[in-house]
Amino acid sequence: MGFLFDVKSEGAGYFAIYVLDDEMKVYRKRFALPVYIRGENALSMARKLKKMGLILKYQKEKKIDYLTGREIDVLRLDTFHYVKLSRVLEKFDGDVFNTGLPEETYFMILTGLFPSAKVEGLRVVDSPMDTTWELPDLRVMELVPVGLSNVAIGSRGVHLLVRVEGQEMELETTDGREFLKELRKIVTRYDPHVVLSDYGDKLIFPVLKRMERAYGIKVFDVEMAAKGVSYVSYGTVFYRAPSYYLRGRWHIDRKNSFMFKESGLEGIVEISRIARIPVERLARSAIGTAMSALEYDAAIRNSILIPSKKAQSEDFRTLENLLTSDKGGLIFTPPVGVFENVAEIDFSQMYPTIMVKFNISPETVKRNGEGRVVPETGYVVETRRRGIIPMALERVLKKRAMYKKLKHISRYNMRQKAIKWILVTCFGYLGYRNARFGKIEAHESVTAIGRELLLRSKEIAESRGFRVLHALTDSLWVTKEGMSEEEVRVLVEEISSKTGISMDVEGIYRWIAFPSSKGMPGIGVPNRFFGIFKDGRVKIRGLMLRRHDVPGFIKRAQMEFIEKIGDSVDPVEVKRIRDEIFNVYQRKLRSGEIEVKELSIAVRVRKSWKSYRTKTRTFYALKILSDSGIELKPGEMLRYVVTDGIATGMPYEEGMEYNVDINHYLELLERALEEVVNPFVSEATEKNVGPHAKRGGPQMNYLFPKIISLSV
Amino acid sequence: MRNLLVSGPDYVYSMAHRAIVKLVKNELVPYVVDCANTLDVYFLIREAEQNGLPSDYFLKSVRIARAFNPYQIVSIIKKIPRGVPGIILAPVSQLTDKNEGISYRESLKVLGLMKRVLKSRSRLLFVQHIPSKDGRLLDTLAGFIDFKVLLKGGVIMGRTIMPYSMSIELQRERLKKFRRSLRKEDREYLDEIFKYAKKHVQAGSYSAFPDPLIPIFLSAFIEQEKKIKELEEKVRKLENGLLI
Repeated sequence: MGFLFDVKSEGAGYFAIYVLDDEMKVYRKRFALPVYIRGENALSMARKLKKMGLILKYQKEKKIDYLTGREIDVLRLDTFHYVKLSRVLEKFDGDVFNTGLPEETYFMILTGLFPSAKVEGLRVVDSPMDTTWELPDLRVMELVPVGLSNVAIGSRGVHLLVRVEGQEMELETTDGREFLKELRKIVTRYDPHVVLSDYGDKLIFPVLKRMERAYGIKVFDVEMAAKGVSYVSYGTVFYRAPSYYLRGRWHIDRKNSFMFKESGLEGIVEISRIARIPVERLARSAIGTAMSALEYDAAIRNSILIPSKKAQSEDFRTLENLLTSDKGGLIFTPPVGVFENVAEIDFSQMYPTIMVKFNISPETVKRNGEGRVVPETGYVVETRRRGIIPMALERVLKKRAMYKKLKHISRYNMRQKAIKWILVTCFGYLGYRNARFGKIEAHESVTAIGRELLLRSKEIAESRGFRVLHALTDSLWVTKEGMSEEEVRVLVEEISSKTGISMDVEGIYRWIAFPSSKGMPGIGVPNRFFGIFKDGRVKIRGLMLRRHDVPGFIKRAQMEFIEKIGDSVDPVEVKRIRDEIFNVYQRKLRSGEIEVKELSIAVRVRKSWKSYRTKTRTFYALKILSDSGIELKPGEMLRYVVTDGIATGMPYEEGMEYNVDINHYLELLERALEEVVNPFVSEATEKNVGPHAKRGGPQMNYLFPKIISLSV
Repeated sequence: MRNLLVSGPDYVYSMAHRAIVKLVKNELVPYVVDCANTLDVYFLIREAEQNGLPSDYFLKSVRIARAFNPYQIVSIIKKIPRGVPGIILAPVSQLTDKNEGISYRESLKVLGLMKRVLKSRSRLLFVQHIPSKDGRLLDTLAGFIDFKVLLKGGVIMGRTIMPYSMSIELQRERLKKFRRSLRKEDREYLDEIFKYAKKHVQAGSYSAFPDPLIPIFLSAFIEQEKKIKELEEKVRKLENGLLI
């Protein structure tokens, strides 16, 4: 039995199929991919393309138009030059379908292959929906640059650490020829299937590839598949390193793979199987890519044409409709304070479930017509035909449910976590302006149904005597005098049966605290809370300790506070704990006991140091890095330490000495503790509910001691 | 009506908004193409009310579609029925945006398409918004699509319907003059009202009133009502205590 290791397009219609049996076999297949066009000039266009040699043949065919669901006549063009043809057809003044898809994925959908499939020869013998798949024994090699952070191999002081089969070697990299020879020896000897690297895309392979060319020594068959880019998403600048693929091996850069960080190799392989995306590409792609691929799969298997992405646009509607429909999920502001015995209940995977259950898809949601009416918006959902999105999602939802049952086994837990990311992002893709199967009405319908569901749940809870403390899109925090677990279970069952969408109990809190907003004392902040469940789990949202730009020791201080409170929500005791923690960390800060790494702050670089007008900490850190030859690109992460001196920020480097700005860190510490203490002691804390009312304890008006001036 | 291209900083947007209101006032149905979320619906509604147009009627009269890339702009313009006024709000960057992966050649192609589409539509008013650095680009653009340029200037961006939670802050701005002329000791009570609004943010958002001040005031009424009841209860208890 073979294992379909990889599929790579080699241009001119050739696909290399790597099958791992006892050894790696490579099959080369030439395959013509179909593209469809329609319009007055379709035939003459086809003739022209044939003459140019861009297509093999053309023929009339009937395919389904995804918007109307009707069969239409199109011209099918078969090509070995898919990428080029896609580009040429951008200028065609008619409709163009199935162009610009990721080649390998398109090839696999049409041939039924998928990455990591079990194969006999080239015949697939399992299914992407199979949950019992296992990876064969893959030899893994780890590559990690050591010495200086952010500096590529080949520079003085930077070595390459190679780990393979329990062995560990450190290679000198300044002498390119020697380095390549050494590395080649190791690679030939162990012949790894998987190369796991730290910063391979940024600090190892760009240099390695250059060296290979310069010295004519081939170690890996390296291919640069994509250039590095800085891009903006929701106002934040991100950086994506270039992609370096290896022929016949998987190169996964652990530091350039969201999927790997979230769900490891198991997760990557899982998604690569169901979405038919080669492992190396999937490891580096945004999670939305998988959703798109699943949609293409559903469309192609149902003879539905895939529109080219730029053609679609919104239809006109009244301003009134826009005003009611352009909204997100429902969010209730929580009251400030501490509450005992609170249940958190939520609709699991609310948005994807809505899409599947209510058949929400771009082609099924209409402004008017026959079907099921969507609340608020007045849109109508067709029920007669199944939408592409529900078709694509249904399988994924089912598969995740199966894995979730086996969640206690780590491997399956990783897989379900990976699938969860598809579900989390699928909704955004409905309205995403560049998604091929996106339509704003579908997007708006999902949020409208979501709001309706949440409101109905709230009403049901209230009719059963619960008080709704907080609500957030798909979750409710409810409480009731003397609430029992049984009561919560009954509530959840009633909501599930009345709404038709299953609701679960996330847990019952021993206590939960909602802190006050900084700008508006006494007013809570949505999705900012912390508490301890009855089973001992701690849940925290929106606190400083959840932010990546907060130093590690601050996070630990907050966490320690929450854990130490345990059951004692009494204000006096809480204040004592706060002071204790503050004093311990204050002492440690002064005596330098806290590791510098714990003091470092990670931020995303927004621009080059040259374009800073004011000299911020980030500016200094970037400038110092740049002076030592390291230019961070917008979107890359910078780690710096706040220092006392002309430069208020210094880049973090292990083992370096810093003149730490202790005052700054003390202020941060104070702010962090204030954030978690205020719900217990703030004046605005609700007094009629929660522990204070029951215990009749004193209401403390707690003022923090000002930091004594630190002239150490 | 000749095709017009009006461009400039913020005030050009107000002009566009006023133009929309004027058209409704003349019993026309304007088709608005909003590129990159440049329309301020709440401002539009206030403008309409000041012109004696009830907000319900106004909201039903205006048609809108949003575009996020040049191809969508063209495709939406095509959807404007013949003989109705169209208003396009767009920063010039939307037509030539590198972020959108649109090359110079491509943008010329888009402009060419636009020119063709625009010519076949009558009574089209084109409102364009330009960052100052794009001045030269604007001239090229105007020349290319045969439009008359009226004004030039800078750019702002936002989202179409401002979330209610954000619009609370904007309403505070709206009441700035009112607040300023209050006695100093009274101001904190006005601030309190905005706090109350935050407490019921979901209701304000869900109800989507054309005027966000309505849910803000309603929230304040509710909280005041609560306080009155609480105090009444306290007084009752005190009185009873005194009686015993």
